[in-house]
Amino acid sequence: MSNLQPIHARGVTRRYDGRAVVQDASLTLEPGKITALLGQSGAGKSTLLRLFAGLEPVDAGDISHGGIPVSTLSKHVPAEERQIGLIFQDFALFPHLNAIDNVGFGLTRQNRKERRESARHWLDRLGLSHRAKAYPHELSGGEQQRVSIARALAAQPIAILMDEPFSGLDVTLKSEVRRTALAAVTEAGIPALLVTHDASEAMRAADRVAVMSDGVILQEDTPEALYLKPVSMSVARALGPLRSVRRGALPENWQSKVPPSETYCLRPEAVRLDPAGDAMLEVVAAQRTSSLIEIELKLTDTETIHALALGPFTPKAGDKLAVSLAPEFVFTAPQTATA
Amino acid sequence: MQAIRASSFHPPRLNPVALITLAAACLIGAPVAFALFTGVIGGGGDAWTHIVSTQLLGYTMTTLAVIALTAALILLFAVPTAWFVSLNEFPGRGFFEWALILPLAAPGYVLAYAWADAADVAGPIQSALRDMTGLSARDYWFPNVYSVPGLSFVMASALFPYAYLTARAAFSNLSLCTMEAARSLGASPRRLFLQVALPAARPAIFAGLALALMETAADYGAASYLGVQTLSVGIFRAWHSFSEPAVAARLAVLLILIAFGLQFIERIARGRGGIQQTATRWRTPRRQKLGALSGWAVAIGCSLVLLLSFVIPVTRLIWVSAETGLGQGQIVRPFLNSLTLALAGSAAAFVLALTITIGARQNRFSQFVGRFAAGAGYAAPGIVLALGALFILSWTGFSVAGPAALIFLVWIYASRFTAAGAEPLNAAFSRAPASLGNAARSLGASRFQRLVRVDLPVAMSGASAAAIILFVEMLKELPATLMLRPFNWDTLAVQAFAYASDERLAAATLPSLLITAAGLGPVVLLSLQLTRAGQSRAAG
Repeated sequence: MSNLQPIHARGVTRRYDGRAVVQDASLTLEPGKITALLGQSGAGKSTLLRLFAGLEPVDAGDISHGGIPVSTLSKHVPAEERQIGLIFQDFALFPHLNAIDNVGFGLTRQNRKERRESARHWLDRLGLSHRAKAYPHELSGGEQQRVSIARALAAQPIAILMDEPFSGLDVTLKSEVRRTALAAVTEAGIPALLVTHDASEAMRAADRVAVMSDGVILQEDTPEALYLKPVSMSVARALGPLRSVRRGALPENWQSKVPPSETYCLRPEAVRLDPAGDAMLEVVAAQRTSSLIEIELKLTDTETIHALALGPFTPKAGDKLAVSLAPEFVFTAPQTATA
Repeated sequence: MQAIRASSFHPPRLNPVALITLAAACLIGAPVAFALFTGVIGGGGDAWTHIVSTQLLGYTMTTLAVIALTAALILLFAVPTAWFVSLNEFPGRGFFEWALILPLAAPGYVLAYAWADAADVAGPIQSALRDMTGLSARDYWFPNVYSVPGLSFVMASALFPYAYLTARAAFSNLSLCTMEAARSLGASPRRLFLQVALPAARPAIFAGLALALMETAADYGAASYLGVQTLSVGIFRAWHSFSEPAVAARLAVLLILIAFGLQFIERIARGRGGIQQTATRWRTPRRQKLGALSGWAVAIGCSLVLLLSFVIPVTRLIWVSAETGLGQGQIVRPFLNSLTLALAGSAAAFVLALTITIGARQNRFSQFVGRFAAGAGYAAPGIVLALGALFILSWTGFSVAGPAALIFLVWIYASRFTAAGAEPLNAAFSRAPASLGNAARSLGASRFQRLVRVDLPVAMSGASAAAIILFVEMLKELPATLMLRPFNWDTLAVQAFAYASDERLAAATLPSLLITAAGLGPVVLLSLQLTRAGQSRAAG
């Protein structure tokens, strides 16, 4: 099988004790693209990953690689025969092997010299050639995760599946490791699946994002499309903060800019500080969070909305600010964005 | 087709791994099963009726009394020392931290010989007392070592380090947040200990205590030497002196029930509580520096425990040995025999421990049979296992002679101690990430390759600790060796026991000291390892 083939899951279901943890899920992993599976704990993301990996059988539906079925009700290619690389949150490095031997673990068809060269190449590719002799307990978390990615890629897998691979890392390490690792994955040109509960990580790292909840894939699209055109409030909420307000609470001249509805959900970007804005709102509270300032603005005595601002000065409570509305960030329940 | 799919995920119970584990479990469990079977099914006859009416109650009550008193003494020795060493700073703390484990090197029967001599009317302690006070032997009362309290003291001295170790680990693992929360709520140091630390450490303390008490119930050498009529002594006497193996088997059932009872009590005492460990926001409490007076008082207390449990008896043995010269009796042969037997037994137990540990990771069936058999073997006293082996021998028609007996002895050692060897191997697996197997599968490793390339090497990281524990335990083993060894084939333990029983203590000292010295190296190594592990955890 060529490595550059898509992997399709069609109507896949997996049940534990009669309860469906993955229900009728369909997802395609395209070569050279990273697909993120986003959802809360217990959404069924890791189970779907295990189904792709062949660690579990399907109870309905099928999974195929390049059109050849690998998981159906009647056929199951076990994990060790699928050539699918796995990356785990706990790194899963073999504690008795040093970095270079860990990377060479899956290269059983090569002789010792070739295996060493290949392992060294992948360590080098992930910036770890100087740590080749180190054992897992001597490596930092970021280094361990890069070794595990090198190990998976060195085996020339047909796809790579990553289960919360960066969650165990320190915040300061995370972005650097993620950048190096995902660049190597993309360069390999194979399909890649990234399971995460972090919406910003999914949108930053992936070409496509599938939002999952209660075992069901709610929507799958590009990060941009998902953020701006979620098909449901659940999807919209999964991708970023929302504030719900009644139509009557909005300034009158904003009501004409949005379609009729009882309530609206606004992203913080929907409200812009704009000297030429068509509404004046009072600041309830404002807080700087590194480069952005989060501002809470009063609509009525009981309702407020959030805005984000850049700039050197943080407004004070009681200040009046001129604001305008960006309707593409306003969603009406239960459906799509207004734009 | 559905069946094929099912078979890849729910392996049938008797796949090759399960079969090998089952075979290992049968090997481990057979002696205890045979002893139990014979005890329950075999008729005791008139001898049993006689024992029931004359000695059974005495054996049972004496055994229970020794267990109860030993438990109290172990708690007295182990818990305060563990508390002060773990959470307080006082003069000599670093030394006591590891030195209090040393008594593990000396078996109970060796301490019994030493204390019986040291505390005798003509011994150095009472002689010094009379010299200092001018009293005669009839003018004062002195504790009698040849008694239930004397045996309990000796057993507590030899075995308290089990509870000390588990208590020390539990106290060191107390969460700083819990302790600080209690302090902020106005808890005094006394209340902190009694109402926060002690309840949190209770499961660990009981685990160590249960282990020590099972060893106490299983002891034959010390009880026999000190003339305390416990069940173990009764079993040996029924088998050896009265040639009534069926009676011995019935008594063995009682002893096994007591051992299982102790395990049951430990389970109940453990309850649902325990130490809450959250990996991320968890820090080891910093040690509190004690005031000068209380610091020295604690140091004296710890010294007293160490003196009584190890330094005085071992010094007395060295003294007697030096007084009478080292050339007493033939020592090289028993030394080599002990070494051979301990090495062969360790190797057999190690292989079995490895088999059940790896089997346990493959499927639940293997996990259950392996752990059950090893647990039963460990709970059963050596004397009971030896009895089981003798029943198997008589059932199969073999005789206890020559190398065959040694093979049986190695088997009994393995049956008794596999669980002790499996523990560090299991710990090695539990330290490894859970996803290792899946990672290996994703890299194309078959079941056999995973066994050879991942499971075995991971388990081997706990091998040195397992080997040390097995070797020391087997070096000290007495009752099974006494019952099963070929004629005129003595180990150090058997030789020391024989000399001591013949009132030839001087001759018994050298083998006793050799056993202790051989155990001392591994115990010091283990102690330093544990202490260092604790220090690095506290630093991290």
